[in-house]
Amino acid sequence: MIRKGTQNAWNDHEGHAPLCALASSGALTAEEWRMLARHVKLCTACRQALTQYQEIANFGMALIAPRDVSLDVETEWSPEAAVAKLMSTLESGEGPCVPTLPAAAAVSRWERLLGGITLVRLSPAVRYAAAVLLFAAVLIATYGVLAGSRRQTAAARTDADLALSRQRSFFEQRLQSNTAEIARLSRELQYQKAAARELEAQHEADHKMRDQRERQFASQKAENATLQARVESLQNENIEVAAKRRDSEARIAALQQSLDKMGNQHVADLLQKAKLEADIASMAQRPRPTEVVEARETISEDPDLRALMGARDLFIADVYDIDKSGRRQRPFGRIFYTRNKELLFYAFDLQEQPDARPTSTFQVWGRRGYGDTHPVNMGAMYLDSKISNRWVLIKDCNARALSQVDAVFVTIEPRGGSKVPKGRQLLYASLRNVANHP
Amino acid sequence: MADDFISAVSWPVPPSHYNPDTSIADLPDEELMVNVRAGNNHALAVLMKRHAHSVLAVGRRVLHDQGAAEELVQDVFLRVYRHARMFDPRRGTLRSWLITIAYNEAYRTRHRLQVRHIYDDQTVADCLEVVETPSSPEYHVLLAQSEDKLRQAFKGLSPKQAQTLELFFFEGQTLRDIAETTGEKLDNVRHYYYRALEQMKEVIARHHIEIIS
Repeated sequence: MIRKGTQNAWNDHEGHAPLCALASSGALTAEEWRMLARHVKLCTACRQALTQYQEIANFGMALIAPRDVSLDVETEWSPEAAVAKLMSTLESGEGPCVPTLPAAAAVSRWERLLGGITLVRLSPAVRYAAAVLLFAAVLIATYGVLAGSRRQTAAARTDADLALSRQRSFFEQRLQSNTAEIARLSRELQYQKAAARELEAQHEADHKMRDQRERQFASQKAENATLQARVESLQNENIEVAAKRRDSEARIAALQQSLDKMGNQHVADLLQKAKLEADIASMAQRPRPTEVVEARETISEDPDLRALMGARDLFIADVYDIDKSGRRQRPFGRIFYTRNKELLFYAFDLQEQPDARPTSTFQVWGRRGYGDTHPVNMGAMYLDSKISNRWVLIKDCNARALSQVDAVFVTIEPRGGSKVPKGRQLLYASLRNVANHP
Repeated sequence: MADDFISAVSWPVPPSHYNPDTSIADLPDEELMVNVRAGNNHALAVLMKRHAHSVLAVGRRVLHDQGAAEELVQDVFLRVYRHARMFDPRRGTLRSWLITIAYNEAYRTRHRLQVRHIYDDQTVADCLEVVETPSSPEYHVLLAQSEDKLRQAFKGLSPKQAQTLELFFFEGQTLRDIAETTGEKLDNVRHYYYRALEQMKEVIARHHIEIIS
């Protein structure tokens, strides 16, 4: 409670105000008592405050104290004994207060004159007799004094000088004493003036300090307002960022869900693919003679094929592709052809072309003269034998297109074929040659 | 200082109703006080038998010591005997007047006892030097005129401040006892005590300004 740095500032009223109030509580430390004692010797304001606090604590609180005092008094205590003790005290000289009771004051003076006899307890007759005796004694004493004074007049004159001398000595001593007192009071006055000047300086310094603190407080308050606005702005930004973050997280979650789904689908597809590849590999490794036989039987049993094979004007030709260096390429074909009637076109190893895909269609086109830019679509070849890697196209005699073409060739087209040839040309063969069989 | 207190609340002496009748035990308090004022010890004895318990209860509550409380009874009735003319029945009952004197005297006694029991000799000297600062009769009178204001000020205290003053003044606890009772730190209790007295002092100051204006 006591402010630091105020212990030596004897004129620090604010610092000593709590001590003034707490002086009535009995809770001050020894150091606080010494500080307060030193301070109130010199500080009138704090001395007055101390007095007022003391009066409030003692008299003021007594005024408002509860009157319904509980009578939980132990039975051992006897009010009669207390009364007896009080009466004994009164009889021993602690009578009624003399100064505040004029009548009682007169009685007390008489009591002292009569050696402590309490007149208030005597009867009126005795009081009257005592007064008469006292009056007589006073008369006798007065007469004696007057008679004696006449005899002593001369001696008194001789003693007058001595008395005057004593009086002079007395007044000289008194003068010295008063002079010393005046000097002391003068010093005290100087001290008090110095203290007042110091107080005034301190007051001025306090005033300046207070102004400075008020300015600092105003500045701090403005800064606080700015900071508060900044804080509110940041809080709003945080709210917006949090909302955006929630949206982003929701989108990320949806994408992640889609990705997971696609990943699962991909894994399933891979598994399916692996299974199919395994099936294909298994099927590829397994020879299928019955299929070959069936194909052969199919071809040999086909009457058109038998007619083609036995035709008088059959044209048979092997077809090769040759690279720039004149070497034969891998794919080759064979053509059985009767003019304007039938065409049987075998081709081998077409799928091994570098630009061929498993889904490619090998499409046969018929050229109608040199420089034809719109060849006739003769149809797509189909895989006749997987074992021999043989593809085939059969065009019957009723095919009108066959009568118009003079050469055929193969192109690699996307699945399902194309309306015009787009892929690279393979196995070009002219059909204008004369029959070479039999 | 107690004499100053009683002087501050003195009123004009009422007409004397001195009654030397021996059947004094049946008289009401007010008439007994008239007899006490006239110097009748018997009337004082009757009053003491009637009200000593209340004074003793105040002493026990504030001083927490049976012997000190019994001494308080003696002091209070001795003062009543000495200053009987100060009692004015128009201002309240005799019992209320006695209780006020009892509390006032008990606070002073407790303070003296605390000072002598707690501090060393030098500190006791410092304490006495401070607490025996000359009193202000004018302030006594002002307080006596401000009883209602004091009650209002007391009601206006914060709960902790009011509790601190109640326990200290009316229950006789020390500030350290109050700290233990309420679980507060001693510094806080000291602060409540100081602020409470400060508020009451300010109320009195404002009332003084109202009176003189």
